[in-house]
Amino acid sequence: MKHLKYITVISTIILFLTGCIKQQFYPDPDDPGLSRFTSKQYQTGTCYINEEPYINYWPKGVIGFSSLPFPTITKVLSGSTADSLDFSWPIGINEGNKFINGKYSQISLRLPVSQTFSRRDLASWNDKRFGANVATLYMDHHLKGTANIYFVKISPGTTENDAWLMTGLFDGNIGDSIIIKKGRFDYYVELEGL
Amino acid sequence: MRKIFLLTAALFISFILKSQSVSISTGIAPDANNPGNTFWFVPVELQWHPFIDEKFSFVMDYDFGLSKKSTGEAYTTNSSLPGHVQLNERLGTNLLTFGVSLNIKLFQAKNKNLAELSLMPLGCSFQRFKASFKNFDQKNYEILNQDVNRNSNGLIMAFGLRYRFDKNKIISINLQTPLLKSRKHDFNYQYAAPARFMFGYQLKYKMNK
Repeated sequence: MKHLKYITVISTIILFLTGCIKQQFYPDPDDPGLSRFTSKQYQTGTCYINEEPYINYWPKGVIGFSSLPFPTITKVLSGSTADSLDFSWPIGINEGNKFINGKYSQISLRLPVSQTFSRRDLASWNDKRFGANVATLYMDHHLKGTANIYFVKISPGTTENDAWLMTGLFDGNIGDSIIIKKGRFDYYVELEGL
Repeated sequence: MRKIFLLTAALFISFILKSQSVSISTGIAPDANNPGNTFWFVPVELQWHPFIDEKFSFVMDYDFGLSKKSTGEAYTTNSSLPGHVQLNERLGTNLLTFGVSLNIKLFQAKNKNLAELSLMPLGCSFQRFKASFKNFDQKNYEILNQDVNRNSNGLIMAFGLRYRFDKNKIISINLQTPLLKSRKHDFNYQYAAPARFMFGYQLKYKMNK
């Protein structure tokens, strides 16, 4: 019973601390509705989708800590010689400091990688840019187009389970119907399958 | 309302009639709170001593910030342009501070030269920070951790040493604290804390009895 008490207290503290990673939104004076392009662990990513400002989903407060929606980089196995890396996060609209659902709910940027691609290879993408001839854009998992992505800063976690801090820029389009502009992110990112 | 205004005006006029002297000083002031990134100011200080004993004075400082060069980093996803460029940046900050200073006499020589300690236990300060970038391709590039224009205000404390010689000449050293509040995360600099080295002149328009 005594052990249970300790476990409860420690778990609460850990969960509280986890929930303390707050999203910080500092408006960009040049791009209304978007956050500034930062590398300060603000856990914020914004972009214009068809001129409408979108933000990554990040719940406020400590409730909901068990399913914090960290953006993820997932190694997708294709079964052939080339795999791919999927960088995705949920999005919505920031209206008066409240998150509301927009027309689109998920962005994914996909890059081809070799079967042997590892965390070390990902770390070497620091200050690396990928053009539309390489990167693919997916909206809501099924709409497909082309993307540009620039990993300006990548800071690996210190342990295997740590999220990585990533700062960068992105844009893309799906034909003429969906145009993403001025995308920027400053996130902790969870790695899966790497 | 009119009565309050008249009363305030009467008090103000009586203060001026009773006042003894004003002093004006200027000099140079490095910012002590941004080591390695020091801002420099030209301070202008006006002190008004309302009473004969000069134990306290109303102080107003305006610190004109000297323009400072810096650099910024900008990035683009556009593959037809260089991915990363360095920008020339100009920074400037001006401060307006006022408060009441307590003046404590340290010693007075036979020739009436006077050394005193001045303490401002609490004052108000307004700080304006300005940043601008030259030749910035705003359409294609994004600046990382951009400095933005900002107005901040809050309370400060200050203390200094003042030496009056040749009847009405003054030299002084004065150190002001940064704003007594926490800095916002996105601001890349600390609040300024000028260390003022000044020379001034005291105009006595009512002689001590």
